[in-house]
Amino acid sequence: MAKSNIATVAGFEINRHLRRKSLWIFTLLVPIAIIAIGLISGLSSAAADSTIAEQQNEQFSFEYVDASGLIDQTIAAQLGGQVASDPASGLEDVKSGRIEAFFNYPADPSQQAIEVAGADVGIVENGRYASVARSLLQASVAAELNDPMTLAIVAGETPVTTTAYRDGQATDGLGRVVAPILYLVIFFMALVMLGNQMLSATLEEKENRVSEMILTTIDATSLLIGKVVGVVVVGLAQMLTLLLPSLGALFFFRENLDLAGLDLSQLSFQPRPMILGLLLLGGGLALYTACLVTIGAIMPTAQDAGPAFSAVILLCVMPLYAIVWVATNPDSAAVIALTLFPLSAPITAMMRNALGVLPLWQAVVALIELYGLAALVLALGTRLFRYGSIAYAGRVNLKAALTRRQA
Amino acid sequence: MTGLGQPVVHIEDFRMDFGDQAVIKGLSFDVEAGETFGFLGSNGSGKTTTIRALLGIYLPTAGVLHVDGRPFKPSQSGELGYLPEERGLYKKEPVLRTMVYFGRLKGMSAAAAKRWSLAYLERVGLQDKANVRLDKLSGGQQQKVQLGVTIMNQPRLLILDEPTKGFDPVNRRLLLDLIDEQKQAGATVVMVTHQMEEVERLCDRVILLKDGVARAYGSVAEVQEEFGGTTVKVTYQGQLPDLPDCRQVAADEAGHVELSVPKGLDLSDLLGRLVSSGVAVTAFTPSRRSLDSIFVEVYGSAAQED
Repeated sequence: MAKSNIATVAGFEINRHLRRKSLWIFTLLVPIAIIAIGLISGLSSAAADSTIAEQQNEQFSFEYVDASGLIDQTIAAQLGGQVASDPASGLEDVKSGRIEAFFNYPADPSQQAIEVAGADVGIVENGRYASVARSLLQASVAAELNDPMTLAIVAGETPVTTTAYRDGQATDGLGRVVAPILYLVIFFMALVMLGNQMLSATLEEKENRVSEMILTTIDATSLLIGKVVGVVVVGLAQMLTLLLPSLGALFFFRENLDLAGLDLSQLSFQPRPMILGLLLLGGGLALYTACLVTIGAIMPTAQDAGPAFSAVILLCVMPLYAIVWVATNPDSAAVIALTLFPLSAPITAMMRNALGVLPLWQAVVALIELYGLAALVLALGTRLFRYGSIAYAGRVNLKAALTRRQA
Repeated sequence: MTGLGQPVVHIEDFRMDFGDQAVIKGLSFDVEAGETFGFLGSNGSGKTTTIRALLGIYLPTAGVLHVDGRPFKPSQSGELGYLPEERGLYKKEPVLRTMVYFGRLKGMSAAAAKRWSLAYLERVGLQDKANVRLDKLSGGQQQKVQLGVTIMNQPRLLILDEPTKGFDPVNRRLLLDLIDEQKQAGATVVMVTHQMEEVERLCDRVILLKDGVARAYGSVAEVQEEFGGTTVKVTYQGQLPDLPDCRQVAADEAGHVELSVPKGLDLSDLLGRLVSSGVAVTAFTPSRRSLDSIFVEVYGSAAQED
């Protein structure tokens, strides 16, 4: 009976969630928002690059004095510049509006600033003066070198190939990071998409005053398992909705996509990080689910559960704010603490696992914590739901719910 | 559902404490198969707590609470129809889907639950609302759906906690008819209520709970007997004499009075005293004492108005 009722509850939950318009609106809003932000960011970046290029190429009248002796007068003339008699007169000409800009190159431009004065054409456009002054100096120095290789080296355009070795074997570089980092992406998507649904799994019965009817019809454990299974299936459906079009495009239209930088052949699926990542993902989701179910079991309404829900989310995603620190100082005490603190453990450990800097002992401790604590918290949540879910108007009395003896 | 002679509900030495407060203090009673049992008491007397403990929603502090010879488990839900005091359904779900869901949880097949639900909705005039969300129905229509969910799968035991609370007259009539039908079909019914007219109409036996202990327990007639046995409705003209051995249980208005007569008092003697005092008695109707008056005596007049 219990088994079939779990399936009945899961089926009911899946059906009702998938029929909700709000679910699909939210699901589709996420990629739309990501695409929109990407487009805005890309357009802004392109516009900024274009502006810089325009500024560098822009012709305006200017004068300059050159104490360094580095400026090539021919190049300066091509850019619209001519030599001024002295800094004071150049500055006066700018103030009077006779010329648009004046550059005062110091004796040692590597140590001293180039003084630039110009007619005010707005905060953004004023940048063209410094841009042209710097370009003129660079072009003049480059013309002196007259050696493409030296120029490329000075410009930092030298290609580098790196091969790292572990235990005498060459490792796969960035390609090995991509696959296990996908677990982190899945975990983050689950936090975003399933959070509210997990929380409402135990709140809904209370808010609708259905607790007594339902708890005399099905036992609390079966009900909660059915609900969690239902929500997980709904979450998978949401993720597939997001991923399938992308994967389809990747595999069927790859040649039409401008993906020169994406080489799937470089992806590496090493057993240890893949297995550890999967275990960390499972443990992280289990603990996250258990926490939300328990919060829902204690609080009478979603509004009351809000602060606790936010705290759990914040603790889970906290390592993302320290991502650079985690990557560059993986063995620091702070990063180890984030790895071993249960709620921050999933993201920190998955990140370090993908980067290949998660010691086995820390992985084992984190896994034991995640699965052990998830089981404890879920048992607590189930008991609180069982004996506290008819506390419709207020928070469950934890002491009373936990100290009642079993029948 | 029950073995030979075994009560459907058996409660023995049930005690329930909330913190330092003892809400139920050693309560014992049985409900026999096929009877309609009234569980009476004022607000806060422990009725709902007892039902919740019986159905496993609360863990009892002490005592035995059995349904069909064992502690209740949700796996027995197929034979239970429970209408709780605090009621509700999944408001954002369509009527039929909700009913089928509960039917399936009670052990019906999806097809049988759907068939039963559609027949019920037609009976109560909601056939056109099958696919409407519950929160789009009126309060009375939601009550009908709630009743349907309660009696799905022909429960052998119906536990109704304040069944007519908040019901409009139409649904109240519907509920009482449904209880009658279930009773005719052999169901055992436990009604938690303080509506005495419902008890007198429907119940075979009752228990009166006050401050966590049974104040009276037995058949309706036995309880009436225990609390004085007889009331007399008198229609008269003139001034009633002082009757120190009788208690007035209804207002003396326009020449009508209802008197509670103690055990052992001869009714002809009472009539003789009235006549000899010069009162013109035009009607003198003895009857068993009403449960309503017993309730007022046990709990005080304020309790009934809760």
